[in-house]
Amino acid sequence: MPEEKKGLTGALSDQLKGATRGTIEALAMKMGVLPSERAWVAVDIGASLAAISLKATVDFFKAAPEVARLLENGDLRNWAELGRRIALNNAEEASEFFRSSADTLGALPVRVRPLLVNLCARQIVLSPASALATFRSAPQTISAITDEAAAVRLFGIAVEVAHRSVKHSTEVLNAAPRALAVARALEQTLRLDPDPQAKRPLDQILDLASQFAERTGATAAEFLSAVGDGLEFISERAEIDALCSATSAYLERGGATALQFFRSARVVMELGGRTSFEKWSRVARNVANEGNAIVYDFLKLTPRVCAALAATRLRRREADRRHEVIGSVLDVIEELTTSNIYIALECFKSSPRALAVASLEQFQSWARSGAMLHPQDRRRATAYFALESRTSQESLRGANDGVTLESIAHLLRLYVEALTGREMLIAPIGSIPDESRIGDGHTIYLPSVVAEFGSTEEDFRLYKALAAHAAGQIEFGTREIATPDIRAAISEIDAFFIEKAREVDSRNDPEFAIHSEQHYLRARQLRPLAAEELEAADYRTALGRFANIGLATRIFTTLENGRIDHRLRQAYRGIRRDLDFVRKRIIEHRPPVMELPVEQAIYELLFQITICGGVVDDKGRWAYAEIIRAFENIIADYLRRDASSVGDTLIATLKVYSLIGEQKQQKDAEQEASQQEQEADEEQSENDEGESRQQKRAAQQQRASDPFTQWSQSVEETLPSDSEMLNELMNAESSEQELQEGDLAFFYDEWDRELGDHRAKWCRVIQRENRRGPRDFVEGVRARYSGIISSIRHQFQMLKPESLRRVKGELDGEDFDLEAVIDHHVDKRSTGRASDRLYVRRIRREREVAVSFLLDMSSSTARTITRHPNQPYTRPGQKIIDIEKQGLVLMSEALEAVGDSYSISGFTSEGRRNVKYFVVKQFGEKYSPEVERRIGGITYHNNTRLGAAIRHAATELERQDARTKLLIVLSDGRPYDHDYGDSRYAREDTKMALRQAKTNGITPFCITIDRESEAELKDLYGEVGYTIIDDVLSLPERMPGIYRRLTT
Amino acid sequence: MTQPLSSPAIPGDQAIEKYRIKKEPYYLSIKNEHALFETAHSAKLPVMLKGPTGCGKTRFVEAMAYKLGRPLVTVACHEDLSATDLVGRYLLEGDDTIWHDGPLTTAVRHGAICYLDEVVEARKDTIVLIHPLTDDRRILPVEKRGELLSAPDDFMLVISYNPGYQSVLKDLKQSTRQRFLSIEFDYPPAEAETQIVAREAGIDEAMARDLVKIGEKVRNLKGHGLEEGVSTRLLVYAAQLIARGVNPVAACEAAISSPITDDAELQRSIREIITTVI
Ligand SMILES: Nc1ncnc2c1ncn2[C@@H]1O[C@H](COP(=O)(O)OP(=O)(O)OP(=O)(O)O)[C@@H](O)[C@H]1O
Ligand SMILES: [Mg+2]
Repeated sequence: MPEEKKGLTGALSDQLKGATRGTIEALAMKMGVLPSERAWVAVDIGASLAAISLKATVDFFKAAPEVARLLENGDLRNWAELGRRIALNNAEEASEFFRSSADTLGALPVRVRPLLVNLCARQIVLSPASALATFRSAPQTISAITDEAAAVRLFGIAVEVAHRSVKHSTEVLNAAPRALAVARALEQTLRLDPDPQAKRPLDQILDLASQFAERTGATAAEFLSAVGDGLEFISERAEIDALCSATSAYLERGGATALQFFRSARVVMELGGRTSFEKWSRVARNVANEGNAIVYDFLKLTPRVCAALAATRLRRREADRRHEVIGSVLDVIEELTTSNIYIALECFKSSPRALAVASLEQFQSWARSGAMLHPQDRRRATAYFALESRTSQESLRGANDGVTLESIAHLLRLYVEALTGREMLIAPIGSIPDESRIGDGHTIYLPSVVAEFGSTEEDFRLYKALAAHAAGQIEFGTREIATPDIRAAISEIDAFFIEKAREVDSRNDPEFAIHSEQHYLRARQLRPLAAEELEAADYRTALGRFANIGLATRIFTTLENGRIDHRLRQAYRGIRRDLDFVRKRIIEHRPPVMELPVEQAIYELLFQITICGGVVDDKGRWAYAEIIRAFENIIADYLRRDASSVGDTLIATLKVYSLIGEQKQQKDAEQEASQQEQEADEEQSENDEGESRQQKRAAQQQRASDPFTQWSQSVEETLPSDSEMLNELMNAESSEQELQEGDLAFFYDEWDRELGDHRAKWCRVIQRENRRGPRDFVEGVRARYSGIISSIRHQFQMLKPESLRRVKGELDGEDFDLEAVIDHHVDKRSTGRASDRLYVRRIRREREVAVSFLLDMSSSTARTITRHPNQPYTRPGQKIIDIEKQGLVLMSEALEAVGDSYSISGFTSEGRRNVKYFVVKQFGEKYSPEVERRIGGITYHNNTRLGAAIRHAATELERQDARTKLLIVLSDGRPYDHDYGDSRYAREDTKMALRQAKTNGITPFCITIDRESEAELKDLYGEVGYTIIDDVLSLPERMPGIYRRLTT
Repeated sequence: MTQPLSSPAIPGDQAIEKYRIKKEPYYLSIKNEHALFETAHSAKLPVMLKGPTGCGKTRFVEAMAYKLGRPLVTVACHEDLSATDLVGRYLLEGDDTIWHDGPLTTAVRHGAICYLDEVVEARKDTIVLIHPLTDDRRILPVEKRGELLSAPDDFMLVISYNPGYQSVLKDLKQSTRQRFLSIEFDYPPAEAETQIVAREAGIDEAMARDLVKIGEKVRNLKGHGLEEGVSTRLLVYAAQLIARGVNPVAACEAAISSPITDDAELQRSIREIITTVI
C-alpha cells in the first residue's frame, strides 16, 4: 500500500510539475481511496491533460475519485477523455466540467450515466459545445422524463443517432420530454388494461423512435416532435397499435416517407377517426404500389385536404359528422384507386372544393362519373376534377338536385339587405369571405346546397327562412351594445353568482362545495366590469360572466333563436308560413325525449319549447312535467313578450341556467350510481348492447347534421379559415410583374361566385400606351376598303336623329313652327307687334355619345380564319386580330364622320396581378397618324381576364360627360386566365362586371366571333346585348352597321 | 296642351274660381312644413319643395292653398313649355283677337299660389321668366301686351324638384335655386305613412302597416339596383287595389315590385319581401 501510494505521488509529481507538494499529497490521498487500477487510469489521463492545462488537471484529479465511484472503468476513461477534449478547446470550461461532473452524474439514474458519457463523447467529436450542453442539461432532461426505463432507452436512441448526426441527437433529447408526456397522457386515457403482454404506448413510441434512429438520424427527432404535437384524439388501444405498426411498415420506404406517413396519419385519425384512418391507410398502400414519389406526394397532400374537408360546411361542434365526411370521401377515393391511382388523387385533391358547393351524395356520383368518363385520360380527368369542365360542373350539381346557394345568393342578399337596410354578405358554410369585409353581423352563413324537400320552391323556402332569421338577428338587436337591458342583465347575472358563492361559503359543506365548485370559484375571481367594458358590453360580455360559459352559451343560443323567431312572427305576417313550414320539418326530426340521457333531454326540451312551440312528444311531456312548466314560464315571461330584447334573452338564460344547474346537481348523484351499474351490465352483454348504443349515436349524429340545427348552433362559433387552404391547394399565387415607365396601375375587385362576393382589389390593371407599329396598316385598310369607307362616312354623317332635337321658336330653321306662326299672326293683328321666332330647327345637342372599344388581344386571336381552306397559299386567311384591327379602322372612319367621342383599347392578362390595358386612342385624342400607328401595333399575347378589363374600361367611360355611354367589347371567345378560376368563375365575374357597368349608366355590348356555344354566350352577355359574327371575315364591314343600329 | 290655355280668359273672379280648392285636401303634417310655408307666404317668399316622387309634395301645396284660402294654379313643366304657354297669348275668336292669360299670369293677377311641378323639366329660357317674380321686385312682364304685372301680396310661387334624378343635364342653375326657400320632403315616417295609406285607400290599419313595412324594406334597396324607393303614392295604389278586393300579394306586385324595376332578380327579391310581410 505505502509503496503504491508513493508510486502514485511520484507519478503525480511527475505530472504536476508546477504544483506544490501539499496539493499533490492531498490529491494522492484522495486517489488512494480508489482501487488501484483506477487510480492508474486517472494518472494516465492526467498525464495527457497536464500538457494542456494545469488547472484543468488539478480539477480533474480533484473530481476523479468521486466520479470514479459513479462510473465503471471504461466509462471513467471516456469521461476523462471528454474532459480532455473540452480542455483542448477551452481549458476553463474543462475545469468547470470536471468540477460539476460528480453532481451532474450523481443526479442521474445509474444506467443513464454511461449512456450520457458515451453520447457526449460522440458529440464532442463534432461539436464540443453541443456535448457540453448535453452534459449539463442531462439532469433536467431526466427530470422531465421522470421514467427511468424510458430515459435509458431514450439516451440509447440518442447515442444511436449521434453516430450519424450530432445535431439530431441533441434534438432527440429536446423533443423527448414532450413526446413522452404525450405518451403518458395517452396511457392515462386508455386506462391501460392490466394485460402484461401488451406493450405500453410509451414503449411503442420508443420502439418506433429507435427504428427511425436506425434508419436515419434526423427523422427520429422529427418523429418525436410529431408525437409531441399530441395524440389526444386516440381513445382506444387498437388505434395507437394501428398507427404505430403502419408507420413502422413504411420505414422500409425510407425515414422521410415513414415520418410523413405518421404526420399525415395523425391528422387523418384526428379529423377522420379510426375508420377513416383505416380507409386512408388502404388508399396509401394502393398508392404506394405505384412508387415512392407518388405516395410521398399523397401523404404530403393529405393533411391539407383533410383539414379543408373538416372545415367544409361543418362546424366544430359536429365533430362526428366531420368523421363522416372524411370517411365518405375516402370511400370514394379508395374505390377510384382500384382503376387509376392518378385520377383518384386528382379527385382527392379536389374533394374539398367540390364539397364546398355540393352535397356528399352529389360528390359521390360526380367522382364516379368522372372516373368513368375519363378512365385513363389523366389530363382530361384532371380538368374534370379541377371542376373546369362543364360536364364536371353539371355532373356535380346534378340536374335537379335541390337549390344551390350560388344560384340564389344574389337574390338572398338583396332580400336580406332590404330587410335589414345593411350591406350583407352571403357565404356558404365552410368558406370565409375576404378578410377586409368580414365582421360580426355582416356575414350570413347558409348551407351551400339544400336538397331537402324535392321541390325547388320548398328548398328555397328553407333558405328564405334561414335568411330571414339571420336578418332578424340584426333587426332585433342580437348584437346590441350596452343597452340598459344588457346592463341590467349583467348585474343580475353577477348578483346571482355572488349569491352562489356566499351560499357555498356559508354552508361550509365540502360535498356541496364540490358540486358548485365552478360557481364558487368563478364568482370569487370575477371582478366588476370597468366602465369602458360596460360601454361596450354585448351579449358576449354577459355570457362571459357565467360560471360555465359553455353551458350559458348553449342555452342562450337556443333562447335567442326562439326570441328572434317570435319577433319575426310578430313583425312579419308572411314569414310565419315559411317559419311554420320549416318548423314542421324540425319537429319531424326531433328525437324521442325519453330515449335521451337526462342531461340531453333537458336541452332537447328547451329546444322544443323555444323553437318548436312546445314539447312534441307526449311521453316526454309527462315525464318532465315540472321542468317543462318552468321552462314555459320563463319563455313566456321573457321571450314571448312584445319588443323583447337580447337583454331579456340573457335574463332568461340565467333563469334556465340556474334551473338546469339545480336539476343537474340532483341528478348527478343518482346518475353516477346508475351509470356504474350500467357499465357492469354492459360488460356482460357487450356485443348487443354496444351495437344498439352505436345505432343511437348514429341517430344523434344524423340529427346534428340536420340543416335546421343551425338554429341551435352558437351564433358565436367561428369558422375555420379553409378558403386560404383551398386556394393554396388549387391555385398558385400569381406574381406581379414590374411596372414599366409610364405605366399606371389600377386595382379592381373581382367577383367570386363561390364566395358570393367580390374579392377586394384582387386584380391589378396596368394601363400602358400601345406600342407603335407601321402606319401602312391603316393606310392599306383604307385603300382596300375605300368604297366601303366612303359609303360609311356618308351614312354616318346622316346619322342619329336621336342626337338631334326639334327646337321651337327659333329665328331660322327647316320648318315653320305652327303655333308660333298663329301667335305671330294674331299678335300682329291685335298689337301690331309680333315675334319673329317662327321656325323649328333640328339642332344637335352637346356631346351625346361616348363609346369605348375594348379589344381582346389574347393569344387566341392569333387564329387564322380563311374562306378558302383548300387554297392556303393562293388565298391565305387572316388572323382574327388583324380582322379586328381592320374593323377598328373602319369604325374610326365612321366615328370621325359622326363626331362621337371614342376611345380604343385592348387588353391581355397574365394572372390577376398583370392585366394589361393597352391604350390605342384616348377619349378626346385626335385620330392622328400617331393613333394610326398604334392601331398598326396591336398584336396578341397571353390571356383574357375580361372582368378586370371591363371594369377598367367602364371606369374610364364613367368619367365621360355624355348622355349615352357605350362600351363595345370585341372578343373571340370566353374569358380565361390561368388563375381566373374555372370557366364558370370567369363567366360570373364578367357578367358581374357588365352588370355593374350597366347600373352605372353604361350600355355594354359585345361583338363576338365565338360560335362554339350559343348557350354560354347567352349566359355571359345575355343581360347586356351581344351579336355573333358568323362570317368573321365580314367583321370589318359589319361593325359600323352594328354601331349604327345601337345608337339609333 | 295644359288645360288653362284652352279656356277663355274672362278677367275677373270667375276664371280663377275653378282654381279654388273646394274641399279640404287630406294632408298629414309631418314636421313643421305648415308653419314654414305659412311664414313664407306672409313674407312673400317663393318656396321650393324638394323630395322624391310621390311623397306628398303636390298634396301639401293643395292643402296649404286651401288653408290660406288661395286658389292654386298648377303647371306641370315639360320640355316644350314655352314662355307664351305660361304667360298667355292672343287667340282668334271670330274676327277678334282676344288675349288669354296663361296660368302664371292668372295666378299673379289673382294673388293665387302658382305651383310649377318638376321645374327642371322646363326649358332654360322658360325658367328665366320666373326670375323677376322671385326676387323682391315680384313682377311679371307680359311682353305681348306691354304690361308689367306686379304680384299682389297673396301671390306665391312654389316649385318642386326631385334631386333623385340628378344628372348633369337636369340640374337647376344656382341662380334659380338661390331664389327659393326650400322645404325638404321624404317618405313619411312609418306611423304617419300608415295613417295616410289607411285613410287614402280606406283599408284597415293593420294592412296599411304591412304595406308601409314593405315600403320601408324596399327602400333599403335603393342604391342596390333600385334608382328610387317605392313612393307613398304606389303604396296607396296597392292599398286601393286591396280595398277593392284584389289579393294583397297580387296587389303589391302590381303596384310595387313591377312598377319600380325591370330587373328580374330585384323584382323577385321584392316579391320575397312582400311574402315575408304579408
Ligand atoms: N303627408 C301626406 N298626407 C296625406 N297624403 C299623403 C302625404 N304624403 C303622401 N301622401 C299620399 O301620396 C300621394 C302622392 O303624393 P303627391 O302626389 O303629393 O306626390 P308628389 O310628391 O307631388 O310626387 P311627384 O314628385 O311625383 O309629383 C298622395 O296622393 C297621397 O295619397
Ligand atoms: Mg306632384
